[in-house]
Amino acid sequence: MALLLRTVDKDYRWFKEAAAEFLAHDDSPADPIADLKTDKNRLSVYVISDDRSNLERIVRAVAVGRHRIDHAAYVVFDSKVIEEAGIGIEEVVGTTKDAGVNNWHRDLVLSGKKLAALAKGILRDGEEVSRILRDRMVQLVDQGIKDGELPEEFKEKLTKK
Amino acid sequence: MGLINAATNLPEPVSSTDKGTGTNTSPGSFMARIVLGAVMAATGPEGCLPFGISRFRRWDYGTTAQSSTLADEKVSPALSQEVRELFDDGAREFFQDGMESIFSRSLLKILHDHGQEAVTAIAGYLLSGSAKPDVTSEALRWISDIDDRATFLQRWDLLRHSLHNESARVRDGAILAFANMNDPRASKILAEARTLEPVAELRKLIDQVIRQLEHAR
Repeated sequence: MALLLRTVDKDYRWFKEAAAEFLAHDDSPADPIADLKTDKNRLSVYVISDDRSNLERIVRAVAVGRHRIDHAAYVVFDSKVIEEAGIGIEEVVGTTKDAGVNNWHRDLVLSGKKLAALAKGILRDGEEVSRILRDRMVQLVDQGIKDGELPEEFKEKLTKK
Repeated sequence: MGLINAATNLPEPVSSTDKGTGTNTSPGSFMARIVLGAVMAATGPEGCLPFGISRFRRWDYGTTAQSSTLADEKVSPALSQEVRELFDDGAREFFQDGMESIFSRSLLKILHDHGQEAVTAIAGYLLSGSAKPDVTSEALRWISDIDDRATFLQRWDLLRHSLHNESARVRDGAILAFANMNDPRASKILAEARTLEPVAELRKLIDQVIRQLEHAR
């Protein structure tokens, strides 16, 4: 079993209370699926270590690619969620600007039905949605540049609100 | 040193050297009442800001009275229409954290061009209940990001009011907006909102923001 992480665009789509009624009927709300945007039927996730020491680095690597440094939300779930849904997982090197993160990247191989099952599984068995606040993200990006984990080009984003 | 007025949870003066220049009848508080009046006019009594806005004092953030004119007292119909259209159009967009949008760029332009009148118009529209929660949530986060002392109190009050919105999405936006402002004086407001917050994820988020604000002291 491994812990998987998926960054999401809006944390409120993953509130468990809002999903409870759907889950009670063995269904999933539709809104979270907006955060599971597939490309060629594949969805990016990352493997996080048991001690979660690589979690912030992964979220930072994904978030820093956006227009500006902002709060970043993510969900963490056990790989049993994808096993139970019959979802395939493949090791595919990621494309973030932090090369150290890219080896933790995985592709989930999905169909429409499996996508809905994934959303349901995350909401039912995954952890509550979490966030790295922007203030912390700025620190992480700054440190990442100093440590050589992120390219210098991201310095510009540190000054952009 | 108390940073928050215990009665109102409103920001106290930034520095002691600013004290003594205002009263409850100052132009600043007059403007605040005008803003409140505009909101009430737009929304009815149920939509008004339920707190002591008239207790704002001119020295709180200094430039309110200096930078405003009585032309700001009422929102022009054209601006109200512009704001309404902006939010209606925004409902067709898909928002992503960290990403600008047509909505965010247009919102910032309106705020830049119209200042206090724009905040009044936006508050009126948001409090009318016509706005979609996703759009409102997005708007609050961008509104919190502008660096404009003249509209600080208006924006602060809009956020504070939004912490008690019936939509969890709006409350989420308001909490994150206070994180953006990074002003420790929001801690008490957030702590109070937490006692009423029914969504576990938002209680966790409030705790996280309060911890951030403690480090910002």
